[in-house]
Amino acid sequence: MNFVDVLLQNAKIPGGETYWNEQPRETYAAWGDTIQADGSDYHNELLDHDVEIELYELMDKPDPEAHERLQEAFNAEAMHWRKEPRVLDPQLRLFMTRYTFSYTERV
Amino acid sequence: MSELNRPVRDKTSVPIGSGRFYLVKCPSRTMPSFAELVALCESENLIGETTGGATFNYSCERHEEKDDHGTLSRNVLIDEAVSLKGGLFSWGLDAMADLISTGRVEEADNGRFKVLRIGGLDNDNEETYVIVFEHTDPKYAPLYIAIMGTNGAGLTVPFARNNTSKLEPEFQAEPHDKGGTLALIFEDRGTQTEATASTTGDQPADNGGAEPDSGTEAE
Repeated sequence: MNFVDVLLQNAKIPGGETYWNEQPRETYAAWGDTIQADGSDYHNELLDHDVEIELYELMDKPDPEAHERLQEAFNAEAMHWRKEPRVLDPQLRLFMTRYTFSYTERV
Repeated sequence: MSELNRPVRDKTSVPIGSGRFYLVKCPSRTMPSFAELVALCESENLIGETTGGATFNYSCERHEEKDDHGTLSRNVLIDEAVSLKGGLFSWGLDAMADLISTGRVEEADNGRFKVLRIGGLDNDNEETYVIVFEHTDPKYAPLYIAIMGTNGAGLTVPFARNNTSKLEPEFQAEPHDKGGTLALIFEDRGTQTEATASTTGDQPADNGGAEPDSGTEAE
């Protein structure tokens, strides 16, 4: 299972990568990962991940506990996370908060 | 005229790409032949995978004398140095020991621990190494830079959560023949065809920079 999916699972937040067939009617997360291969001059021994998680809360039902659980999941993995200001999408009637973090994977 | 396989670089060539570092102890302080230097470039002698390529550096110091009117001058070379710097992406304790003259690797507790001891001036092993950097390019003949020397830059080994721990040795060249040669840079054009194979010119010159003296070895 993908590392980000594990994080979300540990935080008990439903979510997935990027695409949703149907708008969930609960707090959920969508994430994307920018991957840069790296390593020595003749091989790729490393993958540098820059991950963005967008945490969505229903406008009528804010969910601060989801933030706490997500941050605890980050902290448990010693991930240095960054949280951006929450913004409102009035059309979707959702709050969105973006979390970003980076990690390096050895392949 | 020999028939050779690979084109050498000329003024239209655009060198690009990295290479690999190979290192062997050289107690005899004799620079191996060109063919032996090429043969050194095998996995057994690889220090580790390279990162950030290599930097060859030649520096010199000149002294200039002028008359009081600035009409006559003489400019002479009084010192020169060669170094070869590189980044090592992958390495172990044995590689570190080769880069630190007081480093020695041993095992303790019946092999449970592998230990690198560093320090103690009396432990200077006074080893000299042959260091070969092999730069390969699919378009041209492989290019080799060979020096005899040691790592003269010490070692700084960062350990960071978001970066690899690279070694960045800088090998300082020592003269390896009576002529004071500090470095060899050569291209391997490949093997000659049997019909044209020659027995000459296979050794680094040991003649102070004059015409190649076939069959001699550097001291």
